[in-house]
Amino acid sequence: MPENQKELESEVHEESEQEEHEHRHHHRKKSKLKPFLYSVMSFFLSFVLFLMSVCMVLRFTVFSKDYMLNTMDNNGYYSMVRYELQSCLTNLVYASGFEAEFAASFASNYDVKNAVETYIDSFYSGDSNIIDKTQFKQKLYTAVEEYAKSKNITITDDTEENIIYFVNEASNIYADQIAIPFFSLIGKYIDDLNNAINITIGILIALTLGISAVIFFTNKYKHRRYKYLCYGLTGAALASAVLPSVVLASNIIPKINIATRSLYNLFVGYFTGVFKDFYVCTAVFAVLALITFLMYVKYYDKYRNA
Amino acid sequence: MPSSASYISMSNMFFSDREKSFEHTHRNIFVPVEESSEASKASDKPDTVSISSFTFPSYEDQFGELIIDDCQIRADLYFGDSWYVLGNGVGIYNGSAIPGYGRTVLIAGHNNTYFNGLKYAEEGQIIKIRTNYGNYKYEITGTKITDCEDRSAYDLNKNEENIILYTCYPFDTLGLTNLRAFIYAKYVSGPMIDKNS
Repeated sequence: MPENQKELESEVHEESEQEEHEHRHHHRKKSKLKPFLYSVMSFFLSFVLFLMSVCMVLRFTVFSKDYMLNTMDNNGYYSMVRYELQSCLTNLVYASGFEAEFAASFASNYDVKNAVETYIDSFYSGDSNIIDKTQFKQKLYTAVEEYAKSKNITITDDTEENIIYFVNEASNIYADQIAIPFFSLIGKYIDDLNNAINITIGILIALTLGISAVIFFTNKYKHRRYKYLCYGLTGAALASAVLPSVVLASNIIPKINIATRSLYNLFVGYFTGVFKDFYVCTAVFAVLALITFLMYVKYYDKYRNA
Repeated sequence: MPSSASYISMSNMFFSDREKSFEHTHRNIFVPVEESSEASKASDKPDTVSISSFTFPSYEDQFGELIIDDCQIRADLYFGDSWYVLGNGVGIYNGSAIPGYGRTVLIAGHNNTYFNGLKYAEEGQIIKIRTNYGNYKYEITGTKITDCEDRSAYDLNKNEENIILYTCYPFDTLGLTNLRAFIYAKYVSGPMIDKNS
């Protein structure tokens, strides 16, 4: 009987050992799947955050009228346009019987700034982008009459016709200088895309919160919650830094072939600013990643000491 | 596998290999050739100048001067007809030829500045052009007032050394018209450019 008892005890012990082994094996299987799923979620989080950074940068640069006007101000766009306008008009003035100084009176920096701002305004509000030349024509015509008076030149019917032709040519040059090439082509899409980009940002914020919530509330241990959030944020910080770093390091923007100095400076300042704005997103993601990393370290220490 | 060469060459249309600079300095390569040395050349050697022996002008380079004594015209001569050039002298349209090349030389100037004197232009008057490689003389053969769109007013493919001056018309009035004054002149003297040497 005692022998039987011993055998029975040994059988029970073996069974329990086997169960424990199976339980451990099962547990190991489970612990491999979970980190994989959370890593995939972290990847999606970083991808969604990267897309959000792209949309945010576009929203506050390309789709922002203020960004365009600030870039123009910071790059001396108005004074350069005025200089180029004056150079072109001086040429016309030489061919039309006036003295060179006459061209200087056509448009002040203030006039050019007003005209460009009206043009940009119409561009961002989805209007037809037609530059109003009426005011310029009237001002020019008055200036011609005053010039003729001061030089004692009689304006005959023939001269009148020639002056109208000159005024029309000058106002066409004026309109060409104020206009920004290709803006009229893409202007009509800006308004529609502006709404679309706002909706996209909303969707991406919802996705970010959703993925973060899943990572946060389905993890039993706090240090793991912060670990996966940290992965996602670090990935987003790196991804949003790559594109501007490649573009700015290659120095491709200042190599653009644009003939006029005003447009060249505007283009370079505008796109350098767009790419630099990506670094703001990188900085935000990096700070959040650092915070989550510190939280991870804090809770991981607590977990180990428990 | 598709070739990437077409994409690369397309990108070259929009981007250059260096940063754009607007600090353009206008060259003056005009060093007058002395009349006496020209005369001695004419007597000893054939009246030609090797294309490799002088600096060929680039766009907006000043490389000579144009003089019509009878019209009281004396203007710096540039290659190209940009607003800079026409504000500082007269310019050769860069789709035409330079003097001595054996083709049509088309020169533009403003009617109220450097080419104002063309209102006195008459048949038989002499146009002198001094360049960094030789001195030329042309004789005015005729004038024509025509529309700026009139392509028959000039022939840039003519295989004969000749010169055409043009400017806006009328002179000394306010305003602009479609009319242009063309002054035609035939070659009289000056070294022809030897393009093969």
